[in-house]
Amino acid sequence: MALPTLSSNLLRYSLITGILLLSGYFYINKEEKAPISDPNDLNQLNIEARTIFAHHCYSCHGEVKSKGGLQLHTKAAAFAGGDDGPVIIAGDIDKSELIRRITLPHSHKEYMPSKGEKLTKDQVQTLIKWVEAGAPWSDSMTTSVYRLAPFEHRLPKVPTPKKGLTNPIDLFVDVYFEKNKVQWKDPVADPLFIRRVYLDVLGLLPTPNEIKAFNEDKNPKKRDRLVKTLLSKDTVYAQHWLTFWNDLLRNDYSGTGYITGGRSAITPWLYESLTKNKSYDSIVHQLISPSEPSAGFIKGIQWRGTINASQRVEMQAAQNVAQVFLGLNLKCASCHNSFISDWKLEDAYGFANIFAEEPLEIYRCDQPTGKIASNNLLFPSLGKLKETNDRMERLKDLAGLLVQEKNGRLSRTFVNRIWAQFMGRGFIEPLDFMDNLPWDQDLLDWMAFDFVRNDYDIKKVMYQILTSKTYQQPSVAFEEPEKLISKDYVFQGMVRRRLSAEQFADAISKAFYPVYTDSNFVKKHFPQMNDIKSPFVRASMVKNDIFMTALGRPNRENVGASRNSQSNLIQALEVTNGQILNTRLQLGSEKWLLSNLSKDQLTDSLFLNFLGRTPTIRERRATNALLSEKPNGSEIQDLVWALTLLPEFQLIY
Amino acid sequence: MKNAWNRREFLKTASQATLAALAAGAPMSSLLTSCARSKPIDTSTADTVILLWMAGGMAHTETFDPKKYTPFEKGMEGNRVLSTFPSVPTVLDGISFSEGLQEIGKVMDKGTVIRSYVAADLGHILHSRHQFNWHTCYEPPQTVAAPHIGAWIAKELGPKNPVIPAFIDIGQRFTVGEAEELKAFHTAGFLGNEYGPFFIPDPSQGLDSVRPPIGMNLKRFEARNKLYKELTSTSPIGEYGSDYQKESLQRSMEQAYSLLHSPESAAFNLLDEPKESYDAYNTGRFGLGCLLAKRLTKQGARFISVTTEYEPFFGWDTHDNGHTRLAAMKKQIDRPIAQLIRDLDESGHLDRTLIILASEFSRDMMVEGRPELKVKEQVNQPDILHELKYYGMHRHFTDGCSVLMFGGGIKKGFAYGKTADERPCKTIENPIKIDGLHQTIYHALGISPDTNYDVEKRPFYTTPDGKGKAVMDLFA
Repeated sequence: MALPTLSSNLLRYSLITGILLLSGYFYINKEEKAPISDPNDLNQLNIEARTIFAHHCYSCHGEVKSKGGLQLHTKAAAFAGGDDGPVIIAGDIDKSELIRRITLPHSHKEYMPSKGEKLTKDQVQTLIKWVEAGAPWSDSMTTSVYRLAPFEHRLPKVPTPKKGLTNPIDLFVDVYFEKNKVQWKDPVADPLFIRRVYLDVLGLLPTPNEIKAFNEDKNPKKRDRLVKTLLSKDTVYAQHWLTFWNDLLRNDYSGTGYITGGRSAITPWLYESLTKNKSYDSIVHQLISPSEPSAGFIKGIQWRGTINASQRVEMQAAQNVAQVFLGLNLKCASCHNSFISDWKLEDAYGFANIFAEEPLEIYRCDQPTGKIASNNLLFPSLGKLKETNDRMERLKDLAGLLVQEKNGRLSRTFVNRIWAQFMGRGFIEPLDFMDNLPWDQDLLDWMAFDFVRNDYDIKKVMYQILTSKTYQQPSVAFEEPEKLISKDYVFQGMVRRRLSAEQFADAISKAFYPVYTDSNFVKKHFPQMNDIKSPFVRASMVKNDIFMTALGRPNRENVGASRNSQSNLIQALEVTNGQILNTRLQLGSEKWLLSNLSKDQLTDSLFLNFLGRTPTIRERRATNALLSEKPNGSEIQDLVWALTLLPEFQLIY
Repeated sequence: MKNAWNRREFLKTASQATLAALAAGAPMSSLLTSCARSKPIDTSTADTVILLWMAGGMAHTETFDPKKYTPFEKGMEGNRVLSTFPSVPTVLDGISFSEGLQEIGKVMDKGTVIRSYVAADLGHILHSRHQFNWHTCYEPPQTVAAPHIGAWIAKELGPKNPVIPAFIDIGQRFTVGEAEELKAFHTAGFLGNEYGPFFIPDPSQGLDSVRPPIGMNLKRFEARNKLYKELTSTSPIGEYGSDYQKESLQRSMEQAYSLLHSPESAAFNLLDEPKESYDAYNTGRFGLGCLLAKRLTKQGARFISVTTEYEPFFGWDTHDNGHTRLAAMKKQIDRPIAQLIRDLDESGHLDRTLIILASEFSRDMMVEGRPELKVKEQVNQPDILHELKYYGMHRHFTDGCSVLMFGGGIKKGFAYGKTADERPCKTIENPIKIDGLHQTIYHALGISPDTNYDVEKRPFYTTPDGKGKAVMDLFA
């Protein structure tokens, strides 16, 4: 039941007045209302109002759904109204049900939108103005309601060096900092830096000796040198970055689809590509126009049986190529015209068609339409595909067009991902929505251009970032992750991160006792490796298990751009009494027992191995309370367990 | 024992947990936007759900929807055989079950038998695909990781008792065939690990999951935890300030410690059960799973799944010897299920506990798939039966399956839906599909039918497009 008209009007007026006061608008009351008549203003209002509909209303009142009989995606439908009659009465906000609904208190059961984000005060005001102005709806409108990021490259001028800054990243950040009133802070000290860069480049902790040598090194260029040295450790580097790429390309050693041959792994190819620092354009080319070893990515995952049309393997290829390489979401548009972008069903099918042996019939919401798709490259600037019936020929053509130098979107998408890996947050978030605005367009554009200029050399981008002052700023803590992705985010330095499941396991392996050994190694995926020289196997090279899953390794059924860095009960239970960690800690303590260390020696070595430092007095007091003079196996085990769970160990500061 | 929780207290805890989950969320991926609609008046009829999963395809004509019995004779025509067991009356007038299910038959005055579940058409049958569909309500593959129904419930309602994990999965091991496919739906998917299953593959080892590691006594466990807390609080990293990762790590460690330390964890110990009762349930792992479910329900579990366990060609997955093997399967489930219903009824928990027995599809001797849409054969089944091993329902039949429901507001002593009495024994009345079944469960729990979250900016509903409708006829 609606509230009685009078009170609802009163309520609304008081609300609107409140809104106006808050937002500083001057409310023109009805008597003295001067209608907007400038066609440009009207068109602007038209675009703004329909943008609000598109972002906040279409998912229930659009092409696909018409809750309450109401659709807002076309003029005719919008003015026809819903089951209970018209909702927009041009020029009359009192009679417009739509205005009544959006100005109700949020807790009211008739408040709209009932789902998703509430409208902001400005948005409510825009819709009120729009109705008052006669609800202009011009179909000649050409401006889209969705932002589409520019496709081309752009090379912003590098700001003039100053304050001892020379790295272009720092120079751009300096301008950004000034604009946003952020102060540079002192770079982090050596121990933090070496730990950070080891974990970021190799995924491993530095040994106490490496830390000591680095601390004592007097060379002013030692940080640069360290970054170079680490980046040149091809094998160790590859074993760390496998995780990032496996997540991104949904490549795994086990998973659905393998059982029926409906999936292929690309591990040997990927591992070799990383070891050799294959250029990014070659990687993309070989994934899209593959030979046998890299064919798994566009092959997709097919379980047995029939599948939903929007998940046919050609569509999976289209979705994944768009998402991974272009930061573009086609998933909506593979079932019906998107309501989060301008992409249409035919665009998605057109792109999928390129991957198909035979032309695809377009299905809308899983129902055949009788229409046959024709190839569509999504971005006209990419050029045109040659006409051919040969799929492999076509894919080669597609790959070539996508990796053209002028494709700014390709390199921006990738540079954004690498930045996020090191900095904990991309220029643009989410990483797969490259049409969102970056926090600094100039820096992103410059890096993307520079990436191409350097022949898509992945390690060079990494080097550029890791040797910047920007990377060496103290980490920034967020008490609430919402702030991290909010529109008001201001970059201030690396966002504090948590070790990945793989980094966590490897850190324990290196500091104490192997979590994974030869018996866990998935040998057949790494034919290049004859034997594991290291005493432990990197967690990136073992099958997913309950321990890894609990710590956040995804099952790679879908493309994954970022992992969860929260802890939870399931995870805490796994590390507290799970069999995998517990067994390793027990075996490890038995081995360490053989070294016959005194209490102090043991504490010192373990702290050094795990935290890169000796214990403080207070910490020693705490450990002394647990340890006997000659610590026994269980005491060693318990101390190590506590160390592995310390935030100082688990986080990258 | 602080086993008497009250709803207000729980709601407080749950909303804290939900907030915490959000606050602890990943950068990016797990920050879900939902329909933050105002809470409707609580119309729920259940707080807890127990799913009794008949893994592998339970033939309806051999269990809860028996047809004409034709005893085995050498050289008989397979097409004549609809049921390989005689029917036995239940306590309900006009409702009989297949022989071997008498105990469940005796408690049917406390529940409803649904005889018209129609499984999805997914082409060439793969059990795990249908199981994925049953548990998530979506057909694999999907563009995003679809959550298990238990994870949706855990997400929406949180734990009922904060120290009992909200989603407990009993009995399934992941070392079997199709393990990867099984894993694909035993997950909270995009909702985040937090809401994922807490696995107890072997119910008799349940306690091991919630007590200090094997070989560690309580004293040592406490000393270890004390050290951890002291090192955390004295750590020099305090100077770097607080962050959500650290907060969530410490909070979840606290939770784990209180669970492993709580009196409720005794509920996981089946040896605490009086011998008589233990024996009443003990027909093997499934029976003990039912016993564990009973104990956990009493302590405030939210969602529990107990499975007969899926392993290709075992359990209900009878590609041969259907008759002989079903006799054994019924022995496994009949007594403990009936005991579970009776025990929860006596203790008063059944009123607010919804128990569902279901399977991914049914079986038939002749039809693979459904009559109008047969799919690729995969069972060698001769037309004329010369050997006993061919006597049974060996093909995968999707057009008529049985589901049982007890408690949680469901009608008592009720039969819903109907299948044909002649082959094909397909659904002919009140068909119910997976989205209807899920929405019925959500309705009982008071979870809004259009619950959804934005994933990659698209709404993802509990049931596809939010379209499923609860079957109101099933409610008392």
